[in-house]
Amino acid sequence: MVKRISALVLAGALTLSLAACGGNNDKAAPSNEGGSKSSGEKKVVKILHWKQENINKAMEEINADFEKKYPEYKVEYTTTGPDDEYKQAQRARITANDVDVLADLSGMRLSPQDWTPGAKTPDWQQWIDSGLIADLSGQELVKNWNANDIEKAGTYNGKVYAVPTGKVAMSGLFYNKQIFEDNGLKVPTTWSEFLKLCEDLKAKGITPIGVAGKDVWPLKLPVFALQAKILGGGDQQKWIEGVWKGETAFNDAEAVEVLDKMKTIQDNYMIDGFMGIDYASAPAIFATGKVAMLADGSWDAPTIATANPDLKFGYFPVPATEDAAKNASFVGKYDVTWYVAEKGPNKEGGLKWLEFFSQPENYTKFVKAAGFIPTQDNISTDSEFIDNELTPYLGDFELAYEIMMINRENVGEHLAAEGVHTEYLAPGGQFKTAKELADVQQKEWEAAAPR
Amino acid sequence: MKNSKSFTVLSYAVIALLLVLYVVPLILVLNVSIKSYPEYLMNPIGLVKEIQWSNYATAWTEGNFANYFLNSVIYTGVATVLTIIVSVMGAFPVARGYVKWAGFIYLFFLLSQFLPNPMVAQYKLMLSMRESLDMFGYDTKLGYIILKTSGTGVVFMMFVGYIKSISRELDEAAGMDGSGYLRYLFQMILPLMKPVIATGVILTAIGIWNDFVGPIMYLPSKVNYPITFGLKEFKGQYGNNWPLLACGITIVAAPLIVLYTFIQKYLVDGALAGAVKS
Amino acid sequence: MYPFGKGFARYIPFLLLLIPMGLYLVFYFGPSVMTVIYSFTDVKNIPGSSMKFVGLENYYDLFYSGNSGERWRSIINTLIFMFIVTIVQNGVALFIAVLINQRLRGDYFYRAVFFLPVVLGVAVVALIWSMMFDPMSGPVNMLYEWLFGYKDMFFASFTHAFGYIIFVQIWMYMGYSMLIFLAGLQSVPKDLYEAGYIDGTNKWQSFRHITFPLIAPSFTVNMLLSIIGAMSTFDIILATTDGRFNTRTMAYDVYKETFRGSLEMGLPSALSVVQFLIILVFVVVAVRQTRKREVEY
Repeated sequence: MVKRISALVLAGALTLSLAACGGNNDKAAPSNEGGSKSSGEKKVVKILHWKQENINKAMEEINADFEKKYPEYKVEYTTTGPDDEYKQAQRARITANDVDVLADLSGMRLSPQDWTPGAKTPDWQQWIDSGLIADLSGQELVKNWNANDIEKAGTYNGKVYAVPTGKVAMSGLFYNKQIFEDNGLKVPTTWSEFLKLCEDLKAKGITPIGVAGKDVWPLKLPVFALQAKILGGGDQQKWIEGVWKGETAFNDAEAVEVLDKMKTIQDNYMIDGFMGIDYASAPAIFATGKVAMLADGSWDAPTIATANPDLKFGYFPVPATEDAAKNASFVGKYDVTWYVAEKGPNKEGGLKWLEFFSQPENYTKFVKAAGFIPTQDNISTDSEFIDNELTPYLGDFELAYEIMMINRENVGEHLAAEGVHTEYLAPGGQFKTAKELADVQQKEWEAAAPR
Repeated sequence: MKNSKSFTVLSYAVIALLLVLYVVPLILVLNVSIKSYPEYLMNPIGLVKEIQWSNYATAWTEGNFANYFLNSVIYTGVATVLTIIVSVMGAFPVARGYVKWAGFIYLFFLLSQFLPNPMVAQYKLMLSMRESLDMFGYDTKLGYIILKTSGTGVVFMMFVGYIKSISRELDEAAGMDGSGYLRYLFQMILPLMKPVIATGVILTAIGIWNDFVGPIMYLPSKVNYPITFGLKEFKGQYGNNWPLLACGITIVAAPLIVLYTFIQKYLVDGALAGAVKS
Repeated sequence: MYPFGKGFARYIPFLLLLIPMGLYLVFYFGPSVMTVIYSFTDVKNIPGSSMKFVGLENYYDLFYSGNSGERWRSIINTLIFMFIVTIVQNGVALFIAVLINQRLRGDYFYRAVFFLPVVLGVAVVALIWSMMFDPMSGPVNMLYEWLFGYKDMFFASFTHAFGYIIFVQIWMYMGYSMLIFLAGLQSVPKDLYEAGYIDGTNKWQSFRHITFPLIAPSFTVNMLLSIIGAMSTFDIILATTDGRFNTRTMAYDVYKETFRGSLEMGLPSALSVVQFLIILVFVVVAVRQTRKREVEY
């Protein structure tokens, strides 16, 4: 209250002094077309993002540079907890028209298709349809980005609404090179090699795999590999369309194979009590050598490197089948994707910020810290991890199941959030076999069919 | 009255058992809060060997507690005082029947305890208030304070119960002396209500100080964050750095514990009022 | 009757009463009524979106769609939560209150300690118990291993998480119930007991026939508070499991669907209404039962 009054007084004083100066500094006087309330104050650009330390740091630097270059702006960078908490904040802010630039957890996805009658419309699409998101098509900044990536992850109804800032691989396992070397092990390329590797590790008293089961979603990551390579004989899209048309099913042989393979891993090779490990402590468990491998997304590489700078580690795709060639590619998604709010307090400032962010030199800073695969051309990340560990498997970068699977509305919890939820198969979960879970899933899918 | 010996011994035994259940977690937090992180990793539950007071300083700065602390003091202080005042304004005339349909009003206010969850509409209301009034409503300190101010909750009910136990003759005597209603209410009645007010203060303050759900919805800007958000800063960043988190826990809990120790001797009297009349 | 003047002065109490009344109407009662109305519409959490009446569709969606099984489980969880919390919390609290009331040495201290968790608040209590129940480095698991050679997943266990949440809820609010019972017990005149002793009643009999009827009002208050509290609690779930591992209750679902589900607000509104009806039934039953008791003796 007091603050607000004093801010008003201050604003008033500034306007007066500006008026007194007359017309000699036209440039400094803000044009105020962005609808920002303040006339003499700096114009605030509100950016909403989630907590992820390595990225947050880079963002703060970029924001500081932005303020330096455009002194008339001030960036208010808010971060919340990740996942659901972020989703809630995102929604609250956009509903209140209280944000200018906001991140989404992935590129545009899950838009209903003609073969998905009664599918639910994702938030981003409802926002665009309600005129809450700024149309970026025609903006100079769009040209900085790879046209294909923009098309895939930022375009809706022929217009560009979002900028995906990088790709990440999700379907891999980090592995401790030292442990592999000491025990004469090499990166597996087929499912049976993979099982053999895990057995060998176990025989030597080394826990094969760690995962943050308490957060549940990290369990999805290895499953993405299995789904991409097994469902539809390696054509997920076909399988997903099939499930809508009744040609494939959640309890058909392929889907059960996916669940069954993940169950094998969970039952035999995961660290004891993995369902009790939370996501934030997983990198440390891997970095301190408690496990030989870690199921995690490639975005966590910088965090692992921070947890133990001396650790030598690599990343390979979970080999889902016996076909080595088919296994040798990652499945992933577009990560942090920026939208500019149409009705925010300062749309013009938001666009200005995004334009600044899109400059190759600023973007390079960001993408280096984030550990993403760049979505601008000709960006050199100087990252050994990306060059040596990711690039060899990027031949045909496929999107993960959760990005492609369009869900029915009000679908049951065993299929909710575009996953197949193998946590229910974990030791302690209520399903003893993969088939049992698969049958329940198929039943829930049918029950959610539109009336 | 006589007590059999064995019963007394049994009583002490039961109480002792429960005390362990209540005190051990708190001691654990204090113990962990002064361990260094490496020591914690080596020995998470053993007694601390090298005391690290500096943890508190680190937690204070890294958790951004300075700003949040001030915010929470404002929210808790102002909303608690307002709640007490507003509750007295409602409780006195209802308890005395100085307004028409006092019984009905009491029931109507009692209804506040189990109305359908108003979250959805409340949120929309706060948003529209922000749009039309600007300094009031969604994402404003004032809006949150007013939302947290209530004259119809448990405090109101306790006040009604307590006021009924204050003699009516006092009103009449004061009225004869020509005292005004407002002056009588705040100069005579309020001081007589000390125990129940103390209870009301602690209960209201607990609710506001520790609220972490309301601020997620209504205070999205960093400048408005309350103290409970300091705890969240650790969660994302440090995973299981329990020593710092334990410091955070202590920092958040300490002010209310201090308030509580001042007020606790009144608590039973206050609760008595709540129980006398339901 | 009204001693503070006539004419305009007669209206001062009413005018002052308008303040709490106004706050209540604007911020609680009004929104509650709106929520009931919303439950029959397709209102969305998007500014400027239109709204139309859809009849009972939201209610139909609640109970006849792909995830209605979970709705029922949430309801069952809510009832389990309510029954166990109400019975255990009040049972323990009453027992402790009776013990403390016989003037044990240090009674002030015990009282203060048992009430402390209420002061700490949910965010802090949830963290304290997350620490105690940490599956990797928490003391409780070490105790379990030492005693039974068994390790638990606590808040990450499909079978046990809900039980641990109930435990924490009771741990947190037992002191509150205890305090109300203590207050009730202290209003029981001491000479009543003396009379009882002369008649040669034992402790249980004197409790059952003398004490209990007299503290029945505090019993009613406690029943109501714990029923309503247990039915509408979700913050403890949010702060421990976030609804994972079969720990969802109706109140949690309302929060989740309102802020983290879809942008449709009709469904959570309908859920709120159903929750309200269930609370209403139990409150009415509880009040009738306890009132009967008060009169009977």
